[in-house]
Amino acid sequence: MSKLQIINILGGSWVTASGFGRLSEKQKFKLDSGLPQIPKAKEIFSEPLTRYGRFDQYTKLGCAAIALALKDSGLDESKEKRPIGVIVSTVYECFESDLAFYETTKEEDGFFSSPNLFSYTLPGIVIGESAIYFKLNGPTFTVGDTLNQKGRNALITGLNLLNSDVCDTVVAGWLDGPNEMLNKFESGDDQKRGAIFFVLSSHEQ
Amino acid sequence: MKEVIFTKASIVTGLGRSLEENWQKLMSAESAIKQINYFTTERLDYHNASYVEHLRSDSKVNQVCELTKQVLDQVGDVPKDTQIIWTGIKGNAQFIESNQKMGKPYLPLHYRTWIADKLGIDGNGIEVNAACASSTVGIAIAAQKINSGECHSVLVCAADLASRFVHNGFSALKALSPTTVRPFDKSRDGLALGDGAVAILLTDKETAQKNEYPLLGRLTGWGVANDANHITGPARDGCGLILSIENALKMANMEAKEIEAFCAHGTGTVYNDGMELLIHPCPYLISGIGYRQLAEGMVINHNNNECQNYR
Repeated sequence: MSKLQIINILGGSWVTASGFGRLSEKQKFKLDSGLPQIPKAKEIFSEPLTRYGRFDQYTKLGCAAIALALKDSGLDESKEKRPIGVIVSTVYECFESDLAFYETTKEEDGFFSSPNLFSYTLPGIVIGESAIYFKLNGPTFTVGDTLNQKGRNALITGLNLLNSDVCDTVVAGWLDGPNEMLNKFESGDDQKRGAIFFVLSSHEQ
Repeated sequence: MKEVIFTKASIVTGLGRSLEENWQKLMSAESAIKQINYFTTERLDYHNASYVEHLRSDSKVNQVCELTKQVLDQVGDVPKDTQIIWTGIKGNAQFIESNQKMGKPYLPLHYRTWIADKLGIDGNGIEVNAACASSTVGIAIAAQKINSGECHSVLVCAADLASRFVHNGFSALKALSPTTVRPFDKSRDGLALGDGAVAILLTDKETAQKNEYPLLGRLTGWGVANDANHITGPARDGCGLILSIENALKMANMEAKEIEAFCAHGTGTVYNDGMELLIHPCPYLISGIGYRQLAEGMVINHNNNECQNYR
């Protein structure tokens, strides 16, 4: 076994149907069913993120929560790229965006397929957008989650990266946006959607 | 780092139904890229892909499962406590293309549990998605699991299709080759998509010895980095690639001058190949065999295993 380290929680955030918040502000966390209340760009970004308005809902939800978590940790501004990792747990990935893109392929045998929508048919695009804006160049990828676990696998994976000294800071958490079509296929799904992230570090801030 | 061993491996592509067949055809310079015949491409600028013949003969069969079954059959038995890492990307494409009428939409976790049932094992594990680096990252996570003592063996498995969904998407991005894919060629003009499935069993040394598994290769270090540049374009200076290579070398306790072969992504696109050509640390450069999305990293790893000096 590799030696376990003390891991510090530098900050945290959530975006749910009840609103959004940060760990250090001691706002009341609540996770309800319904559409997540995604904050506007000016509420979370110090510098304009011009593409934010064009993001699909999944990417917007995730970017907002990651931005809030980094702000909560005091790590939201940097002039240089930093080896901070981002691990996102998601069950449904960007399924709604997949459907939206495929709709554009149906006319004229695909002649009008949207390159912009296709770009959002990978679950990790939310990480890419966050990494570009916040200059994060550590290990970044998404992992699956079983129903209703909401970030367990991302936290375990993030802790493993820290304990094996692959990097010293990781943003890890859960992201699942509204997926009305998929809900009917998954019995036992609690229907709660949103994003919750923590910034974990093997160093004290 | 604890010794992590590649013990079993299999692939299925449009080129061949086994590792050996793929290798032989590669060595004889055969290509599997041909005109797509399972959807119309008349209104698009790109018409070719590498696809597995007869895979689409029954539209009600899950084609990702069908491809996965073929690689699992080749891998054979694995230890009961083997963890599974599924690294498929677009396992839902067939469902979406059927206008959501085909059974249920397979999510990544469904493929992992399907594999567990098929192999008759517990099926603990995880799904990993890092776009076309998914399988490479999956192998890294497998190594970490074995190295930390969390488990003794991990099956990393993936399958993806050259579907209408991805073909139309890459066509819209103008990323496909209208001619023949030519990685690292001066006149390269884009990538080619392909059906592909891969499975690799990684174990610790004790498990490999106990089960008398062959030693295909050792994994001694890995690195994963984001270049924080653009969602569909690489950083021209290769900063992400440099960082991941440096981290892999550091973990393996090696220096760059010791590298004897370098397996790159080799998409055949102007910018990605340009970036990899700028950085590659040794004269022996290997590219992927067409663009198999998730399976790409593993196909490259298979080729790597054929190098005698692979570390």
